[in-house]
Amino acid sequence: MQQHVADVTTADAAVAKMTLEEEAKRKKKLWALGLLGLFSLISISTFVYNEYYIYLSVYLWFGMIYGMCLQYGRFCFSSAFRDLFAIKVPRMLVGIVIATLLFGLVSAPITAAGLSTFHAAPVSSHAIIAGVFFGIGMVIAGGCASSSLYKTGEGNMNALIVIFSLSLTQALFADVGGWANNFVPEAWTQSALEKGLPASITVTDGWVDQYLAGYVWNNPAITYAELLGMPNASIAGAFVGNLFVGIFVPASLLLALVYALYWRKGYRKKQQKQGKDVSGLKGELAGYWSMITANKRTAIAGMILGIACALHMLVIQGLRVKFGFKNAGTMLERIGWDFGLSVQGTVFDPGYWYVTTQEAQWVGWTLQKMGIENLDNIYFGFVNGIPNPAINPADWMSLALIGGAAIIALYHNEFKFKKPTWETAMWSAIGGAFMGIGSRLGLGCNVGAYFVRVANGDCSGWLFGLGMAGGAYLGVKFFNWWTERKLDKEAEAMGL
Amino acid sequence: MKSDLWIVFAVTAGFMGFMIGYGVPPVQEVGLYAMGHGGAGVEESAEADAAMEQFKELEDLLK
Repeated sequence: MQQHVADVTTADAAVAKMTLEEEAKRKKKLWALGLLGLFSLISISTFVYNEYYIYLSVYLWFGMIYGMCLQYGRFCFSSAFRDLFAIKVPRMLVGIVIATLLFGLVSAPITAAGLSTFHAAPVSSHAIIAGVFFGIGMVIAGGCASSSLYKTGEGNMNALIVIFSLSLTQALFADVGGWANNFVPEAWTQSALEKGLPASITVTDGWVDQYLAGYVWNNPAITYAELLGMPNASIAGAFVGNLFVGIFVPASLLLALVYALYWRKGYRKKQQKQGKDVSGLKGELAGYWSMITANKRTAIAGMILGIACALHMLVIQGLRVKFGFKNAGTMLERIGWDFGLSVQGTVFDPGYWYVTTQEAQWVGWTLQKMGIENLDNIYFGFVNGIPNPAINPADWMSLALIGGAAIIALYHNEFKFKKPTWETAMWSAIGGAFMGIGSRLGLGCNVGAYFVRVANGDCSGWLFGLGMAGGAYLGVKFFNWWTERKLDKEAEAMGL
Repeated sequence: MKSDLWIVFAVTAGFMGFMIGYGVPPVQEVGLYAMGHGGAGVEESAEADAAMEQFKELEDLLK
């Protein structure tokens, strides 16, 4: 009898637990649908108000797709390098390299058709140095610029701190002058002055201004196609120059290196245990293939990201032709939002996936509103502007990216509000600051300076990636040292 | 639970379809190659002036 009562009670408790879980899942689903409804409402109501707002909605919906892909593929550069250097697991890194290759494959026809909105960045050692800063930062922060956005969508508040720190550091670093001018070589100052920038840009007051106009701009901005004497907008240039020489060959070599150093031994051991033959070239190729196909989820996400980026470029180009402008600044002026435009009347309007600049603009706009001049530097004042975040096209993309990641996380029951501790908040802030500096030095983050550049055949992309790998290695070494030191102290305190 | 994720995909696809339909006709009208090379055959607005041309060259150098 007693046993029967106990069984019934246990069964009731299990049913109650299941009901609660189902209820929690139902609530999460409703939140996801609520977010979807909010995005739909914003798009429809703004379009009804003014046709031009469809331009912003394009950024919004593509941003949402980027967020969904990132969350689904767990697309994180920090995890990729940390797993590789700390525990010798190359799965995520391989997934990202494959995703870059697939993105390149999708970008090539767009470039060949002359529809790409992409422009190459200057090539020099600055990209490596910037990558080192960025790599250290992302390992310390526990997330890169793009993964911090999708992790925020999963309810991770450490990731939100990373975004705040990254944004603030970028805005402050882009405008730092005064004492920082003492660290500018005279040659940079002279070269910056020779560029003949508008008077409103105080080019001799600002470290980053003189770094950009006095040094970075003096380097060639070139793609692999151009390096081989082929125009980008041609079949040969896009497919042979950019895709084959610029992406396929270096990616294959990198994967071969990763295979030899991190995958081969474990694979062969496992196969030999199962009594399989792994000798000869056939065995090596089978091992190489097993590594490439180990992370299908990230690769699939990368391929969808690539298709979305290509479509994004196409639709934005079409709308620019339809509305007769080349930059959203003109559109904002036409609809009466002229605060914060650059001296050329432009705002940041990349036309494809980009992460960091719009975040810096939030801070730049806020500082400007607080009376701190931010339009006298090249970054904001000459090119990107600091428009109101509510009508900043790329801002719509970033916010929708967080929303898109949240929708998928809520549906897959992976959304969880994670409160930071003081220690994790500190590392998030420090890591975000390193990434902010790296982003401004490299003119982009892991997305803008590596992923998009490599996929579009820009020679500077792999350089930033190389620096990022070096920085991540240093970051992992630092963290290992820090953790061991902490454990030793704790053991000492416990008298062990 | 996961099965009704199709609602999200359907709504997203609906908006994407609308925006592609809105943005692609100008591409068809002008032609892919022409549009990628400055949009020959389409009247550019007055705002697309010399300063903008300079900006186009520099825009990605400064992100």
